[in-house]
Amino acid sequence: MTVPAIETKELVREYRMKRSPQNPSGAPVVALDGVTLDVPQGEMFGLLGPNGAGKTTLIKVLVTLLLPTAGAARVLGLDVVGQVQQIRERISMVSGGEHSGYGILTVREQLWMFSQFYGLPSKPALARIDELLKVVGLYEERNRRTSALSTGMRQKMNLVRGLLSDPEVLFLDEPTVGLDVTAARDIRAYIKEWIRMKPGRTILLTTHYMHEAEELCDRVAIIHKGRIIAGDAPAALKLRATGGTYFLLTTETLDGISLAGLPGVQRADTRALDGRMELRLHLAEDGAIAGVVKVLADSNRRIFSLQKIEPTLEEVFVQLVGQRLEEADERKAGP
Amino acid sequence: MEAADRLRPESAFASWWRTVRVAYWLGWQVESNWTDPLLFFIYSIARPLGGALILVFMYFVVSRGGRGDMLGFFLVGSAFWPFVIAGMMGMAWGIISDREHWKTLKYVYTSPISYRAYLVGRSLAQATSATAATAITLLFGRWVLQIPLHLSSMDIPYALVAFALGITSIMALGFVVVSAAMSISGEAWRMPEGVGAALYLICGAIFPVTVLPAVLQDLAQAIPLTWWLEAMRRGLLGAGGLRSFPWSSDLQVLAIFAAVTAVWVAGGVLVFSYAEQRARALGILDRESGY
Repeated sequence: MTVPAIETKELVREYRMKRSPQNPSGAPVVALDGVTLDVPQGEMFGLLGPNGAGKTTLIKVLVTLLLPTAGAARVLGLDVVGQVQQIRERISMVSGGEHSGYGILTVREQLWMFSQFYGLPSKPALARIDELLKVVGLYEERNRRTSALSTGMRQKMNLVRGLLSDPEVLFLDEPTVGLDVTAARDIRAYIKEWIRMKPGRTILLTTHYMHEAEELCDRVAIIHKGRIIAGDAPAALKLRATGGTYFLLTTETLDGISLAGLPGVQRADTRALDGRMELRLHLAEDGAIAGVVKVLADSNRRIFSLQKIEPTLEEVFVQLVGQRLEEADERKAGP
Repeated sequence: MEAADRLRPESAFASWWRTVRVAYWLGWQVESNWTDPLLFFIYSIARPLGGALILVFMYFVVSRGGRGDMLGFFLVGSAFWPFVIAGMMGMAWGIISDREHWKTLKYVYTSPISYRAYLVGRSLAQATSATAATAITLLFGRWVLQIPLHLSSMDIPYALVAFALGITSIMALGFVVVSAAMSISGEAWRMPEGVGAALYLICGAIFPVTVLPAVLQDLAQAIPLTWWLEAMRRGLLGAGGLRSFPWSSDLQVLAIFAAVTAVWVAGGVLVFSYAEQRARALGILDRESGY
């Protein structure tokens, strides 16, 4: 029987805090609160959650950058506290949303340097670097200084760095955050291609893009305030979003019209869209849409489109957490 | 990639040495990357050389133009001191710049290398930049100040052994300094310079430690740099001349220096291991201060 790629049991990570007006008692911040996970080898596992949910902290513990406060964590059966070197030989990590890299080195020099840290012989390493740079479309930039690369290019270079040692477990911490649509799509495509080419490899992906998790992951866990509150295949998770039906409706601006109190309307999220308003409605049953349409018609609001939609991971998240992911992010970032 | 291409089997020492070499290469790329050659000249040559010459001319003023043994004493001390600052600075800077500027610390740290070897490589690269200033100061002393730095009177093997031990002791001190720098944030980069200034005073760089109060003399003897500078003077200036430890023979100086260095290396490694573990426990290893 093969050991799990990642295994955590009641993992706790606390950060000591100084006394402050926001934290007069100086109580520690609990970033991970008893996380238990089991990711088999060969799986692409997603960790979904808002900023500050504990995603990055979990990755830092698993890649041996951070010690756990309590509980246990193993990577490929190796203990993250006692078998650090053995773990490091078999894993790699790529984080998004940062400008990492020695700006004074060229792309090829940078990657060569990391290949040496992983003990790859120079000649095959350089061949491997060129091959991967071609795959991600960065070959033409190989002799360019890292400081001259765009954010998207730099992230592609970092992805190549992560793949260079052919890791058995690859940790991707928000790899597409801050990238434009095309660059993010490219990165996702390379990740999918890599996992297709290396079926035995495992990826732990943290993201707060629901569609990214749905598109890439075999299984997804939702993490909130340091706890795993649900975990399953995306399809199975979506089945949990029961107890209602979902509609997407586009209309004119609402200007004070409230739909939330209407019979059968469990939740109505609005989003401005090119001068129009997009409503994402969670209804108790299909028939409740009639009440919504009537209120809009009585208020002389044109309805541009109306469509019944399948529940998404976003709906699952809302059901479990009680707020949308963006709202959770805003609350975290707020004063 | 073929499995054979992944990790080459090698001894722990080979792996350690490979890391030192690659880190040295990286450190030198960073260190020599002055876009303006004038800046490179000012920082790597003019600044340390200027520091040494200020002392020389101060000596001339105080001694009313005299040329005693003291001149050779502090010229050699001043010539080699940039290695101390650059070596300690290079090590601390290896961590701080990776964490704050390049944002690469977590990738380097979580790669399967000895992080200590990495820091040694970064430190050696920075120390290399001190070579030019040292050489120019010594040549200036020999040809302009007429200090007796003659090949015929030098004990070259002795000086080479002392130099190698000296660099080792600077690495050991660097580990102690970098351990402290790891635990504090923003102003950590200033630390090596501050520590260097304190050591400059008590390690016999510009005057013999015999002029210090007894307590400081004892402290000076516990620091390998004091013995290093003493050994370098004995190796380069030959017999005679001013001594920090006039009661010790050349071999005794070298033996004590080696012993003190060994203690500091062991201590530096232990202190660094503790600081590293503490930083992982507190979660501050890769925490940016945004200085």
